[in-house]
Amino acid sequence: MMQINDRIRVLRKEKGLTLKQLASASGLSLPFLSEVERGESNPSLESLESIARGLSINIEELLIDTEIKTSGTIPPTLESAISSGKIPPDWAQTLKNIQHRGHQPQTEDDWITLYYSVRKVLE
Amino acid sequence: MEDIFVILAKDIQSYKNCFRLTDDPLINFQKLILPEEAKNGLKYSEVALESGADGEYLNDKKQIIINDLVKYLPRKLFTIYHELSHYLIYNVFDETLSAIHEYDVNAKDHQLIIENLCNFSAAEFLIDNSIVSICLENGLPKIDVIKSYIKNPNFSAPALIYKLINNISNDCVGIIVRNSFYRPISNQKELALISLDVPDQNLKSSYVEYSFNSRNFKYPVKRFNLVEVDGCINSNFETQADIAQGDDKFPFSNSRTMPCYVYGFYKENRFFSFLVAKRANYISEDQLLLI
Repeated sequence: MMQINDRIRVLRKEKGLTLKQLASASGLSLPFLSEVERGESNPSLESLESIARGLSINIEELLIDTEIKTSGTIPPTLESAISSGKIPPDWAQTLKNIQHRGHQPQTEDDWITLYYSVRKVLE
Repeated sequence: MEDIFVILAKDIQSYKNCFRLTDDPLINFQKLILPEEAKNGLKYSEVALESGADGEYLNDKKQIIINDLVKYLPRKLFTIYHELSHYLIYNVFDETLSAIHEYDVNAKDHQLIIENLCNFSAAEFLIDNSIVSICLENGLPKIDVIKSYIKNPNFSAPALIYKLINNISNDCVGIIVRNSFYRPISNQKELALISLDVPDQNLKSSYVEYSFNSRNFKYPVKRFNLVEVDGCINSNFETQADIAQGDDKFPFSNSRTMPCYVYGFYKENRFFSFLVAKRANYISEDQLLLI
């Protein structure tokens, strides 16, 4: 079974569309479609219908043999920090998607340090 | 498909044309770009990042975070424009973002492409095109000219190097610079990081960590060389066997050595180095990976 983001990318390329063209055809934003194709965002049913329309297919064709699951893979050390209660679960996606310049978090302690640093800024 | 770096350069030039930019990149960011993008939700903060990262960008929050512990202005400027580039690629540079999705890569490779593009983007913002023609001759770097530019106060060395990478000939496969430096721990084989951002006029030599980049390379590779101030070492750069295996992601089918030159010098009591590698004769044009 294929992930929905891969299915969308495969169909888009089969149709010879760039992501920008699909954005225009579907009425969805390019940044959002980028997140969807990268598996960083789960599209709603409404968005999937728009994507299907942009691809000139029906939604059943889009969803056949696909699965939709929680976007992205959480690094094991981050997952460990969350399951031990040191980082709230709702911070998982924000921390996972941070673009780092310089040191990348490697250990559980790295993620905890990063969490507290970023929380200072956002709260 | 058009070269993605050309697409990015066009996106950047179109963007810059929307502002009356000055010669001061810090003023440009603080007074022109940030206020404009704040209307679109971009946020900026400086905090002490104990993680050691120079900066972070939170895409879902449109938040740039710069490490307040980094005081050296050129380094801070490069980071600001690097993080800004993350925001711009995902929210403003439609052509570049669309082009990135033409590559069938996994999530990790996508990240590496983005990081590379953000470095080149920062260089595009910080370095004028006119400098490139002064620093290169027939696509090869003029070392003394490059050093003289880098020695200018507040001039970003990485920005210059990344700008040059995009314009060098294929005879010169990479120019890199990184200013993390190390000393060996006594009686041990490990190297200890001695400083990142602290002036030290007594430092006469250092083991230098560097990344090897050219427009035909997707991945940085780090190696250590002992480099002396105002010195140049003639060394061999050897690709790591575990990253040089076979597939279409890397330019070499197995481990290769290439002659390279690593230069060390002082600027404002800080130790800088950069490396120039010339493509070995046995590596043919078609063996170089085209991204």
